[in-house]
Amino acid sequence: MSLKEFLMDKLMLFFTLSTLITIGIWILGSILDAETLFGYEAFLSPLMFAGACVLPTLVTYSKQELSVKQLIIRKILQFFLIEAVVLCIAFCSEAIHTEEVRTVVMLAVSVCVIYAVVHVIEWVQDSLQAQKMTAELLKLQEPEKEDRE
Amino acid sequence: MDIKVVKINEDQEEQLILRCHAVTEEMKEIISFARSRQGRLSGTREDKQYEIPILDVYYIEAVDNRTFLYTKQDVYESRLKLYELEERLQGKHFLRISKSVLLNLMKVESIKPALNGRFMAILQSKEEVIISRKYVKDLKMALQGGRERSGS
Repeated sequence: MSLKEFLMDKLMLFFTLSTLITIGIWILGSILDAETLFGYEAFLSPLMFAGACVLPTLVTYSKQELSVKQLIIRKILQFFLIEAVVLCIAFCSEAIHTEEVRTVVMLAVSVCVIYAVVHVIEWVQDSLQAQKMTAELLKLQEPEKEDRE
Repeated sequence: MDIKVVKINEDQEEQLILRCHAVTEEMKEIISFARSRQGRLSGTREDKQYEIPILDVYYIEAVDNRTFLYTKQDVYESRLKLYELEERLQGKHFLRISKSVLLNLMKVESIKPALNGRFMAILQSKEEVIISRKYVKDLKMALQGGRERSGS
């Protein structure tokens, strides 16, 4: 994959993550800290987290096509890097109460859930593409099948 | 080598006659090329030479500088390189789907997603072949009938 294609993919991932992180913050905030009010700067936090989470995904870049094994290893590494980045930001931020174990655990779990959801979204998109290609393929094969019949 | 082309009448059968001192590698290549133009590919299996109809080839794979033709049940080794076969199979629904594989689109049953933007072609023989991400765009173009390589 070319670097340009890879970066375009990451841009799409950034927007997907921003949306999912916004939903994640809403759910976590409602459970852990429902009374707190924030200023306008709070709107930036999903973008900040998304940007920080996109950076570790660069470990999956390779000019050559990765084998399934290499890809799985890099995906695992990527996941742990994302967890580390998010927890680092959380521990550095005063707004997140990292002194509570429950908050840290829920944050780590939500990273895991968002990571899974992103992969499910990618899988669904690829499945739709595959279905479309299969339909076109059958259309391409039709004249030859008719000739044989 | 002297090359002669003789025009004949419509009612006469077209022929290609090679007159040579010995059937050298070069000659074999010419024969192989001529056969591929006739809808057949030369391949060897267990030291025997076979002429395989192009329609029977599911996919062609290059492994360690050797090229293999896969049919429903057998595997034949071709003396041609993958890029040579790719050129010769233009217009016959064969498409490059990875660095080392040429796929016969007419033998694909369905396409399924694989990891990281790759796809998997499920062949009519139930074999599975990976379509590299790099070649997905070419495949889409071929399926939409707007490309040159597969010549569809």
